Order: sequence, then C-alpha cells, then structure tokens
Amino acid sequence: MKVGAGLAAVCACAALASPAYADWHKSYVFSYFAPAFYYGADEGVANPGTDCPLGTMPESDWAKMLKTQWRTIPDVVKIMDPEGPSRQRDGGYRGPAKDISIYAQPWTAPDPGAVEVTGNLSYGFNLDGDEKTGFTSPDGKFKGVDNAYYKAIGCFGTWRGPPGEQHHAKYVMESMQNGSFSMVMVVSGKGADPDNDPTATVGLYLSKDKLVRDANGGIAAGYSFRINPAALQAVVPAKTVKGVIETRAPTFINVRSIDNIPMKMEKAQLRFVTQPDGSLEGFIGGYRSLDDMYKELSGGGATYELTMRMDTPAVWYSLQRQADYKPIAGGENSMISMAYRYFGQPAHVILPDASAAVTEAKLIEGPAVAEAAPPMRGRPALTPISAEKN
Amino acid sequence: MKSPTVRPRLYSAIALAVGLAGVLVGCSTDKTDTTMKAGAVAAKTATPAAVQQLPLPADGQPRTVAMRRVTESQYRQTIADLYGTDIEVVGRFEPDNRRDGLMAVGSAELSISAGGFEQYLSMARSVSDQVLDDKHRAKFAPCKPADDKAADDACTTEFLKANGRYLFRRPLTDAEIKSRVDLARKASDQLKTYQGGLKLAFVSLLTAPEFLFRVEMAEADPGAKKQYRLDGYTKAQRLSYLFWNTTPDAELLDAADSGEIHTEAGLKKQVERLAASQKIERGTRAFFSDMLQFSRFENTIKDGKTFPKYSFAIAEASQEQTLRTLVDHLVTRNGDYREVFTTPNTFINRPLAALYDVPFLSANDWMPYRYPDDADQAGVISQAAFLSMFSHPGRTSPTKRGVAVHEVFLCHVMPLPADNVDFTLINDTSNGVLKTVRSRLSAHASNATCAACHKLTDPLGLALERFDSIGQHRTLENGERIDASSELNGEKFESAKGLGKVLAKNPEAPNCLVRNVFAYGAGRLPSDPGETRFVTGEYKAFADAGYKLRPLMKDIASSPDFYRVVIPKPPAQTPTEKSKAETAALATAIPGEAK
Repeated sequence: MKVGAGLAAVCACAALASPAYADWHKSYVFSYFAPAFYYGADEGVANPGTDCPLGTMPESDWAKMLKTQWRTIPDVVKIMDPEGPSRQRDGGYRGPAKDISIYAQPWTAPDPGAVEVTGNLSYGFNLDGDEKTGFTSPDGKFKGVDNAYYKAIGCFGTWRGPPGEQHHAKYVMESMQNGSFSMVMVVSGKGADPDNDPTATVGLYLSKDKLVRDANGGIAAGYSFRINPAALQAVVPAKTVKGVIETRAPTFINVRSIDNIPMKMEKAQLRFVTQPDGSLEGFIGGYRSLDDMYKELSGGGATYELTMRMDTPAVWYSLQRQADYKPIAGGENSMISMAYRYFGQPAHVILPDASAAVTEAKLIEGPAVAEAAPPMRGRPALTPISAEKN
Repeated sequence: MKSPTVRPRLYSAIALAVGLAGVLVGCSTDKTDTTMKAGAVAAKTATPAAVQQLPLPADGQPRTVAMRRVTESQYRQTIADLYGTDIEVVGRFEPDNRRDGLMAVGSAELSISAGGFEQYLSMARSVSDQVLDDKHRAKFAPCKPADDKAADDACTTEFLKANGRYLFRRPLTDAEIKSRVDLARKASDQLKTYQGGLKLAFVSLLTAPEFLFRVEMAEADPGAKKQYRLDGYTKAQRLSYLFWNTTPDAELLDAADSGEIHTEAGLKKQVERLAASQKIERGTRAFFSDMLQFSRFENTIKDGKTFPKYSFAIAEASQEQTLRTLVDHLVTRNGDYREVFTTPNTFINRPLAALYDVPFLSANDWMPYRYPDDADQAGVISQAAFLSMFSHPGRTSPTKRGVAVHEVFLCHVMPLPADNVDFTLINDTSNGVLKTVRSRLSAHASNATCAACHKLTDPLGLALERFDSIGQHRTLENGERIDASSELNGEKFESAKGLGKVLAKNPEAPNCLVRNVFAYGAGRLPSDPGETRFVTGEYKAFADAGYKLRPLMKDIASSPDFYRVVIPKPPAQTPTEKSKAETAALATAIPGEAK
C-alpha cells in the first residue's frame, strides 16, 4: 500500500474530511488466519511428524463414548443411526446422568486422554520472558515460545496440517473469503521513516465489506473496506524496527477470534512483516481464557465432534493440563498461551461512513459492541479446577 | 388427441415454421417486402466506399436502400422499452462486423446465418412467453378472446397492429397482418388455445427480417422530380437509433405517418425533442461503445498469473467508467469534446478503485473521482478500458495502443504489419538486457521495413507505458524505470497527460468525431461529394459551437444531407462467378439497375 497522504487525494468532499493526523500509514485486509501451529510432517495433513510422532489423534469411538451406565446398547445403536438426527441431538448426553450434557459440563465425563504435541518447534511469542521454557520458532530466531494451546490440541486432526490446510480453519476462512466477514489492520506513525518508528500504532478492525477473490482464487489486493464501528476493534501501541511491526510492550488485544468469540487476549504481542510482494504475514499471540478456548472448540456440540473428529471432554482435559497462566496471583492456571498466524493483502481502510480513508490507527467511534456470551451452563467462569475435582 | 408430451415438440415445429415463414413470407405477398430480398443482396455485396445517387425508376415504387442488422444493444433496448426491463433476453447474438471503424457501418453488410437464426428464434420464443404470461398479458394483449381455447382473429389482429408498429418501425401491411393471423389461427386450432396461436404470431414478428434488420426505404420525392427520398419511417428510425438507441416511439411514428417529419419544422421538432430527453444518454453510450470498439472486450483476456486482479467485474466496470466519463462530460456538463483527452474527472466503483489503488469513498456503487493534479492519468486514453483493450494478455503494446489512438480517435487508417515480421524480440519480456518494451521496440524498429510504421504508431503508445496491460499505474518495468516521454511531428510530450494535450489540440480528433457521428447515424461514410462537403462543413460548425456533442448530433440529424438517398455500387474488382450471379440478382431486383 502506498505510504503517505497521496491516498487521500480523492473527491473534494472526501479530501476535506480526511483525518490525516499520522505522518505515515499502511493498511491491510487479512486474507487468512488460523491458530499458529507448526506442522512437523513433510507432506499430507495427518502424517506423523516431529510435532506428533504418533500421528494425528485417533478418531473417537462413538459406540464406546455413548455407552454409559444409564444407556442401553440398542439406544446407542439408535443414536448412531446415520439416517437419524439422534447423534446431533443426544450425542452430548453421555455424562453420569441422563440430563447432563458433557458439552456444558465436560468435567463430569472421565478424561479419555489425548495425543499431545511433543515436538519442540512452534510459532508464537515468548510471553513469560523465559527462554528456557516453551518452543523454538521454526526459523530458530525465537526461543521460549509459549504456545500451550498448540501443545494441547495440535495433534487433533482438525487442527493439523501446513498453513492453509488445517481443516477447521480452512472451513472458517473459506467462509470469510466468500464474504461472511472481513478483518483489517491499519498501521500508522510519526516521522519520515515508516520502517523505523518507535511510536507506531496498530489498529485492528472488522469491516462490513466483503473480501474479493482474485483470478487465482486468492484475495485481491487494493480493495476498500469500511470499518464496522459496532464490532470489536483494538488499538495497540507498536513500533517498527527495520520494517517489522511489533508491539511496544505486552498489552490486551480483543478482536474477533477464528470462531467469532471475542479474543480477549492478555499480555498480547503482535509481530507483522511486509513481504517483498507487498503482502503481510505475522502473528498475534498472548494468553486466552480456557473457558473461551473451550467454547470455541465445543460450541458446535456433536456437529463439531463429528466434523472435527474429536472427543470434547478430551479437549477440555487437555486444555486444563496445558493451561499455563494465572490471571489471579496465587490462583489456578485458567488461561493458556496461544497465537494466531495471519496473512494479509494491501487494502484501503475506510471510515464507517465512507467519507475518508483511515490514515491513523485509533478507535473509531460507533455503537459499543455486545459483550461476550454468558459463561457455560452449570459452571461459573474461572472456577478453580481443584474445586470441581473435589 | 395428442399427449401433452408431444405438444412442446409440435410447438417448436410450428414456431420454427412460422419464424422461417416470417423471413420468407413477404417475398411473394407484398410489394414492400419484395424489395427486401434485393436489399439483402445489396447489403451483402455492398461496397459503401463507392456509391451513386439513386435514380427514380420507372415504376416509382418504394424500395429498400439499406438493411442494417440491429445490434445486440439495440435489440435489448427495444425489448426493454416496449415490454419492460423485467423481460429477459437470453441468447447469443451473432458477431457484429466493424467497417470503417464502426459496427454501425458494418451492420449494413451483415446477414443472419442459420445458426444465428436459431438463436433469434429461441430468444423470440422466450420473449413471447414472458410478454404473454399471466403477469404481463393484460398489459400487452388486453383484448379478451371470445373463447380461450380457440383462435380469435380480431384480437390477434389488434395485438399484431399494436406491437408490429414498434417492432417493424412502421405500420404492418395488410398482407403482413393476414399471414400472421392465418398462422395464429392454425396454431390455435392445433394447440386448442388462443394464447398458443398469439404467441406464435408474436414470435413471427420477432423473427421477421423487418424486426431483425433496420430496413431503410426510399420513396418518390414529391418535391424533387425523378428523385427518391428516404421515407418517413426510415427517417424516424435513424433519429431514434442515433439519439436513443431504440425503436421509434409513438410520437416519432406519428410524425412519419402524417408526413410531418418531411417538413423542416416537423423534423426540427422531433430532433429537439429527442435531443432534450434524458434518453440521449443511451444513444451517447451506444455511439461511444461502438466508436471505442468495446466489442473487443468479448475477446479481451489477461494472464491471471501476471494480473491476478483482473476480473470480469473489472472488465465490465472499465467500460462503464469510460462511458460514464463521456456522458458526464459531453451530455451532463455539455463539455468540449477535446477535453475528453485531458479531463481529470471520472467515475470509479470498488473494483476499479482497487485497480487504480485508491480508496473507494462511497456507500453507493459508483462515485465521482478526480485524478490528483500530480497523477499520470488524464482523459479516457488513460482509463482501464482503452489501456486493457489495446494490450496483450500478459504485457502492454505501445504499437497496439498507438494504432488505436490513430484509428479510433483520429480516423486514420493504419497499415497492417507484414506477414513475415519476427516478433520474438518484442515478446521477450524476460530479456535481461532489453528490459523495457521501449528498448525492445527500438531494437525491433531498427529493421527499416518495420520502422516506417512504428515511427507512426509507437510514439503515441510509448507515452502510455506507465500503465500496464490492465491499466494499473506503474513506474518500473523489470526493475527499470519507465520512460514515458515521446515525440510526434517535432512535438515533445510525456505520459498520458502529455498525449491527451497533443490529441486535444489536434483538429483531426474533433473532425473524426463528426465523421463518426454521421457514419453511425447514416450507416455509412460520407458517400458522394455532396455528403463530403456537408461533413466537412460540420467540422467548422462543430468547432464554432465549442465542440459540443449534443448540438453536433442535432445539426447532423436536422440536415437533409443526413437523409440523402444513395445506393451501394457493386464491387469494382474482377467479378467471380458467385459475385456475377449476385450482381445479376441485384440488377434484376432493382429496376433502375437492370441495364
């Protein structure tokens, strides 16, 4: 994207309204994002690799999962009938009693166990400052990368695969690329050197305007996107060092996550690099609530279990095991380190009323966004795990 | 009794028969139609560059002097105007023919192939089905038959008269009505529905040559002994297609019915009315679509790997951008034609904003846009439509662009390259030494044979090199800075802005427009010394009036010279057996030519 105020040279009405406060700005639209998981195999999407030497986690045995003390085998057979709707309706009821859904109360089911990541490479950030704990970045540049979320579910089939091939992310991203939502980023700063600016700012927004595919099925560059002020947005103090955009200090970032749950990421960092062809690549990482992560992974109930081929309690237990951050000093590890990997294209980010281009990363006025969904049924958020077990 | 499954096949057979009958029926039943065959032959063999004044033949009867196949846009506009925009026209039109820079001229040389007729028949059936369906029937066929399951000649006649007048652009003759009433009756008898017969009669109108061709007729001129003049309906349709790109409306046809259109005042009244209407924008769009050769977009493709941003949406939008620019400048603002080469004002939509890499600041589909003062762009030659049409799929072509500027905007006729030209060097876009097309063209033009033409074409095209094959601005080619400076006839200029200024002050540009407006309306270039004098006079009138399009169109359409009757002369070259036969047929069909 062009740098400078030249972009504002449009129709007269727009030029008058252009809030060109920053000395420089760049803007992008995200063409793809997904949990930043390293795929350790050379090919395929499920092969054994350095990340998961045992291979992708085996598919769930539904007959075994559904057979509880209170359910008969004929009932199990009936639920598993592929012609009927029973599995979607009744698949979650496999807790200790008939009226307990293990989607809402996963801790009521026994831990089925999970194949977890054992490799030592991953993407993300050194969130705790300790280079001795965590992964090493695949390019070897960063040590102590904290990405416990990857460790927890990185071997689940729906999340394995090279960038662009993780099953669930691919499904959501195709929806985004076909117009269901779009997310944009503005970077602005002061001074004459956009590549080295200690006082840059990054703005992350959602847009009402749809992504447009190019002739090769990718996302076309250069399109304009109006900010939706009613949706989540984040403004992050940043800096640019030799062209790399980074957070100045860990911060709080709350934008859309992949499954449309507010990200609410604590101690978050971001790092983006403009590629030689003008496109953008980078990461946003930090700690997210276990409850939020679990909601993302279980929100679809049996449909998710079937399409993502995972056992929901296994996910829950794995997240609990790998949780690595205590938001309350002395409390439980109720948050987990993770990162998203983003790909973007140059774009024009526009004010909500389309009166001018956004040339400065800042909060854009508009109706407040609705708060996140209420906590899971039957269980308050952030309840210590030990209390449940007791 | 036939089973229901047989009926569609029967319907098809009858429809085809009626359609073909529509093509042939006039030849033996009606004087007006008798001449059409001759007209069709004349049209096929015409050489518009060589014409002569039509003498009055001994019989003094009206005759066809031209048949111009309606273009796709004229067909669609006519159906939309008569029956509403919700009537869909779905089908493939036969390719048009460009001659002397215009399809409006080439349309007089076209016939319809068997395959093309099938398409027209298919479209006619579709239009007929829609217009006479439950939703629309009451509006377009209000006459209620005595029996829904039987023919009703009176209602059929009423429908044919009302619709045929606009489709044929003149009243139907008794024979034309009778033949279709008869066919409708036969079809109704077989199908056991009144509507079935009426639909077939309607199909026969829509597939008749009198609808698919703009038939231009001449009649004895009561004001000039032994001379022909164009009849009133021909004048009406020339006006209507020139100004509105559609069939004449009731008022125009009334003026033709009464003969008012032959009077100076009557003609002026119609010209003023047409020119004052908002619909002149349609005529302007149709004219410039033709002049700028937008039909080329049907074959304009781009390499997706090199230009991933190019899409069908951008191809469509780029044409719309140029047409909006021209209509806004020439019609809405009544601007000086010469400024279309220099104006910084245009319109963009979201895809075009992405192509030009500027923000799209509007909640609407289109927004006005003004190029910044320091931009390289100015005028229509720097817009994506022109730049992408006259480029190769993967690279620019200063030669193509230069030829196009000469031919489209200056009416120059440029020679074709020799058959044995070696383009290898020019096509070598990865040449490590000759990185820019300018350097490759320069090396290519060192060949004396090539240099003669490239000296004419390339200077204009090289000024546009800061725009790639799809119209995106660029400053580098293969890492080397692009030099967009140029020189023509001793005048130096740079980039599209400089070229625009050169064109704006070149008197051949407005003269070319005058020539094109005349040829577009008349369907041929000025054909004799009288017409040439008229058009030459219009050059000055156009200049004196400030190079305004609407006054130019009015001036041309108000002049008797626009309606001069001329007849194409058979080709002068050595006749082949086939052309001998066609010439003989022509001579036989036109009494004055028999000797």
